[in-house]
This record gives sequence, C-alpha cells and structure tokens, in this order.
Amino acid sequence: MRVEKEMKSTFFRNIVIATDGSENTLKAVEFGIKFAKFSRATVYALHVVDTSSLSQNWTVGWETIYEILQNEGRRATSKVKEHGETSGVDVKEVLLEGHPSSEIIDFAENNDIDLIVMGTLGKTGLDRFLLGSVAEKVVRNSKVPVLVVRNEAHS
Amino acid sequence: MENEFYRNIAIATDGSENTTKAISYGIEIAKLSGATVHALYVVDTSSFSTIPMDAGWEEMYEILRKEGEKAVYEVKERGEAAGVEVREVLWEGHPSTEIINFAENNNIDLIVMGTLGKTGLDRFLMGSVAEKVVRNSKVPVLVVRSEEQS
Repeated sequence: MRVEKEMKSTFFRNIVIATDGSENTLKAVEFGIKFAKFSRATVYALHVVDTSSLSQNWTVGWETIYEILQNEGRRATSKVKEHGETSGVDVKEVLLEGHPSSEIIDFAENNDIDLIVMGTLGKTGLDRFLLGSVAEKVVRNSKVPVLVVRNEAHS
Repeated sequence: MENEFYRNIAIATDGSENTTKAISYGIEIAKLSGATVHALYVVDTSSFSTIPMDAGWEEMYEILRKEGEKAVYEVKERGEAAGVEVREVLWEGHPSTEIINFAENNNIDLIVMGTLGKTGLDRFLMGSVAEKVVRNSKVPVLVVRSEEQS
C-alpha cells in the first residue's frame, strides 16, 4: 500500500501544456491532463499570442486582430482548465505573446517547469513542415523535457 | 484506471551519456503509471552500410551489438532498482525508423529518448534521431535533453 505522499513525483511537479486552441492540440491536452493526474503535478495551460505573425505595417485592423487572437487564446487555455477540473487536476492559465516557440521555452525555463506537453501545433494549414515547426523548434531548443503528441487525424 | 494510460513505454537508448537523463525520466514515468519498460537499442547498420561486407563489417557489427546489449542492460538494472519491469530489445537498421516501427507495432504508449549523439559536437546531428522520431512518430514522444550540452 503506497502512501499518498510517495506517489507525488519529484520529477513532475509543474507541467506546461502548450495549446494553440486548434484540434491539433486536443490529444496533447488530454495526454497532459492524464499525465498530471498520475504524477499529481500542477498544470500551466499556456497559449502564446503569435504577434510575430502580425505585420508591423498594419495600421488598420492590428488591434482588432490582436483582440481576436487574444480571445482565442483565452478560450484555448480555459478549455484546458475545464479538462483539468473534470479530472481533478489543478490548472493555471497563462497567456503570453511573442514568438510561440521562444515564449514556451522561456516560460518553462523560468518557472520551474519539469515537462512541456504539446501537440503538433498548426494553424497554418496543410503543410506538415509548418505544422510541426513550433513543436520541433521547442524540441530542438528546450532544456526542459518535451512531450510531443501527434494528432491521429494527420497522416 | 490510471494504469490504462501508459502500459508500455519504450526507452530508446544509444548507451551514451546523452540518454542517462532520459532513462531516469522514462523509469520514473513507468514507476508512476505502472507501465512496463521496453529498453530499445538499434544497432545502426545504416552507418556502415558503405563498408564492404568483407572488410571488418562483422567486427564492427559485433562491437555495436555488444554496446547495445550493455546499453539495454543498464536500463534494466536501473529499472530493477526502481521496481520497474524492463524488457531488453535489440533491433538493427536505421535508428529513427526502427524506433518508430518498434513503437507502432508493439502497443507502445510513449517513446522516451534523449538527444542522442555519438557524432560529436554538431548539435544538428546530435539531435537528429530524436527530431526525426518526433516528426514521424504517431506514438507520443518525450525528448529529454542532456544537461551537459549547451
């Protein structure tokens, strides 16, 4: 019989689930929540508003688009929170902005994160090189371990 | 209930120090979830396919094979110390391809690997096996970077 305290992993105390709110992250979210459940970790649901994709030259509409992206991000992180609540996992929502892969890594490295869980993020369409690029960049550059979950819908 | 999550975890090892940390993580996850670990080493026959069969091929193969046996045994020892069941698996071929093949055909729920690197300082080469697996595997992949690297 294991004592509850022993079950708590010293390896995985804080987990980031990076979400872009798309279907590509659904499986990763599910995976990350389950992972947090058995390791009893705290989850940080992280969305990065990709301001790098917004052209600086837009004078008209920049703020509107920014608003839309930000709302989308909030929806994405709150979805993770809902998931966590139904599983009894503590989820904190984090909204950042900038270049997604860099922000994910920075956040993880500066907040005692033990694991980053992410899907093959992709808002950019069918190109699978682009689809995977955020996850691949994080894998390539993160000192924090990264768990990549591919959505089965893609082949 | 929770054990249904990870039943089988593959830890891909190349026997180098780059995998040491990944092995710890893999065993920890197996311990937490009650999974069986498959310690996998792929004898990279693609790396010496250009060597003529008669000239040292077999010796080279033997050396790598022995190295592989040692690598998977190390995982087994560490698993045993943590009370985790470890099966030793030795395959041969192209590492990233075989790691994926093994995982997809053996009900593996998670692949754990380090940034493998026998090839020296070039970090593009260092990470390449892990990156290829991440890019092509349908099975989730946990990549653990070795801290020594910069």
